[in-house]
Amino acid sequence: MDTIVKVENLKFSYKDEETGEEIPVLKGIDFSVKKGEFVAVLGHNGSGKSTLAKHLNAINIPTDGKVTVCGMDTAEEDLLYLIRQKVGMVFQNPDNQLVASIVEEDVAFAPENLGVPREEIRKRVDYALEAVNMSEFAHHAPHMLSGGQKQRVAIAGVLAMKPEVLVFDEPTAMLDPIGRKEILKTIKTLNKEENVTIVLITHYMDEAAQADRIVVIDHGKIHLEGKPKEVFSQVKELKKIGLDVPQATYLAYKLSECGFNIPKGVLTTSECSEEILKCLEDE
Amino acid sequence: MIKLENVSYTYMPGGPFEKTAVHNIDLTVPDGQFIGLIGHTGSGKSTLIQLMNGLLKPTEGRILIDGQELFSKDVKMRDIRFKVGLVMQYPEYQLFEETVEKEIAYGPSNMGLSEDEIKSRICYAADLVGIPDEMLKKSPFELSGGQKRRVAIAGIVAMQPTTLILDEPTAGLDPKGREEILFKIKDLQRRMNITVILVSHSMEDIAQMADRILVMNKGELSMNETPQQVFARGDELAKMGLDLPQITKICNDLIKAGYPIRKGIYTVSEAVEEIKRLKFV
Amino acid sequence: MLSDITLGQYFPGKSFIHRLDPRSKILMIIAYIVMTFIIDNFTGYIVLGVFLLICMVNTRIPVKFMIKGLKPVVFFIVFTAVFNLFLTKTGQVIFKWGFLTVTDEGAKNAAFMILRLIFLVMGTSLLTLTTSPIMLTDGIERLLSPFGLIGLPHHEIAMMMSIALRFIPTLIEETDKITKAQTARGADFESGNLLRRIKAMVPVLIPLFVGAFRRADELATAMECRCYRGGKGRTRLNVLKLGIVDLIGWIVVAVFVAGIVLTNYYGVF
Repeated sequence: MDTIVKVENLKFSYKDEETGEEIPVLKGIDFSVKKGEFVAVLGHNGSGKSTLAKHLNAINIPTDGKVTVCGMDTAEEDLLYLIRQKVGMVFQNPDNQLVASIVEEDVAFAPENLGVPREEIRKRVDYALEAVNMSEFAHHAPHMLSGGQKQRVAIAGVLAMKPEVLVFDEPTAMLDPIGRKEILKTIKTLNKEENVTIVLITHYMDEAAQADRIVVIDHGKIHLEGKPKEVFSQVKELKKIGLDVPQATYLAYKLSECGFNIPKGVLTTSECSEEILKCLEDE
Repeated sequence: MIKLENVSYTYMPGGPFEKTAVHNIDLTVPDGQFIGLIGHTGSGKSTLIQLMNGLLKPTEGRILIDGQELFSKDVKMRDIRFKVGLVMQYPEYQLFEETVEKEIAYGPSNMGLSEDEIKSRICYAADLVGIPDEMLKKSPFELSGGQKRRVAIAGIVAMQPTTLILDEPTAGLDPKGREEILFKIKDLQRRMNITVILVSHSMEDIAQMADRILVMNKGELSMNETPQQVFARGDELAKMGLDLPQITKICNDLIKAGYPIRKGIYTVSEAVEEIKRLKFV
Repeated sequence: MLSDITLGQYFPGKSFIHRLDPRSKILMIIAYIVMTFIIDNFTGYIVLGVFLLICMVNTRIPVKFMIKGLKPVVFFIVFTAVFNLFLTKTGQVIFKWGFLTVTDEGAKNAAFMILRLIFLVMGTSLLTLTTSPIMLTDGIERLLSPFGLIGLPHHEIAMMMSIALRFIPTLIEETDKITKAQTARGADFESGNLLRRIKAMVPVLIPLFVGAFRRADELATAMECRCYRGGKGRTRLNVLKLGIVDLIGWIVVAVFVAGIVLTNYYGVF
């Protein structure tokens, strides 16, 4: 598979306005995302994970190091709009991303900005709303929708640019459980069926567990990296940096500590039940 | 003690968007307990808590706080609100003062307390919620999300309510922030011996904290029991679209496979004990 | 209640009026407003009333919505009417009580004022109810675009208006939430003199402004992420096109305008 996003020794700091001090946020990050992959970036608030996300479509430019997207260096100003077309970004608060008072006009916003011909805009809007399963709401006003629906409109608004990569910056943090499920399902469908590369920034472990690969960030550095199973088997490490594991994972971990023959890094409840049953039957 | 008798609330009655948010609620909240309130968005739980401190007036039925009826002539609504403290969702968005100290003082000064008393209330609330002294002189707008939220909670705690209602106090926080806030709330409830009503979407959080769980569904109070009793009714919860705690699900799987496990287990340590017992039977 | 403000509340539909080009609609509403002010007799108002009624029936929007738009301005209407009623000193005195005098001209002025304001509010809410905010701002943008030649940032003005319209419901909701939160902290918005009441609003206004700035900031980033770079080179999903609907619309309007102007000369009463 081709590498689509490449982050090399990324450092980023900003100046404190009062003291004039340089405050480092990212302290040398190396990672890459392959085409079609679903990567989750985990970290607690203030770990630098959102700042990292903002580097992927040139909202932030590295203080040091390099970020390339589809072979384009994000530091090159001439490429700015090309990069932003390739890497779409969805943020936490759905209310603050919607520009228009009608769903379909909001979805049309990005292609309009890009000067896409009218017939093509129509096609893209229809496609994008279909992809997030919101076609029937095309003529609704966003403020009448639920949180999860609004967020899906926001996703459609980005999809209408036909991006290669979608970066989600804590897209479910402000949603209720139903909204969270909707969004996660949408993300997975886009990844599997539309072959969109996904970078999901989150602090929800159960969401990260769905990814192909997890990158754990702490204090502006990569702390752990690997398949969900590998990362979640490091319960102690995760707890140490203020993260948690799902209860099922924790139960399996505790049982294996008590001498049960259960693999660490169990991800779901059904997997956990199966492992426990297997163990009990062996007795 | 909060008592609801036959309470209903309808938004915009008679209008084109008429909507009954809660319907026929009978409920007594005993003193000193930790109550978890769970239900979907739109199940009526937010309406319910706003009724409890008089932000909304019931369209039917009556609400009694320590025997005083809300909205009756001789009851001052402000006094009720000082008794039943309500921390709304995302309370950090209500902060407005120059310093954390003044922010916490807002409620107590509305109560008309003396300067000295207000000062001691600030210290008291800051201590309970875990706000260090050096933060008191800072602007609340400089703080991190989790800290802001704590300041907002302290603002209510400083009024020394006998009941504290919190609407999703952990929404949007990371695991560490969540745990810290929940721990502080539990600690506060024990130390002050007050009633706490915690609204949450997280079954796991509610399971960990509550003595009693209220389940709202479609505007009605459909369960009012201990966590064990509630979680033993998994099928009904599933019908309402509510998830069981993961641990309860796993234990249910084991029960289904024929293992003798107690129903309604919801903590990791309980589950470990039960499963260990199975193995060494 | 705050949510009673119908401004910016588009009511989707496919009626004749819904299908009019927003530019036509804006110019028509201007003609309509001019009419409400030049009419000087009741016959004219009857004609205008017939026109408004036809429009209302055509849109199929429940009358409640249009009446709702009146509620927030009731006080203003009553105030101006009373003002006109008692302060017009010309004409024949028809009523006198203490220092209050009412003349026939005063009564007429007051009645006209009430009619004008009601027609004004009903007409404009008809515009906002049948035109999506985006169409509206589009129309304004296009109508203003000739002024672009003299340096008027017409695209930016239209964008600002459309965003303002988009966020009105959000900010109303937020105001409601913050007011409740401060009430729960013992804020008292209802008692005391004016100065005290204004002071009591501070805990609501500050969080509201802080919140609005936060939203603006996030929105700006989101817009940049969607490649927004001003009006240059933008295409549109919905292109404005004048059609047969507009032609018919203008003929109808012209007939009514002529009729109304004539009533000024031949009005019966």
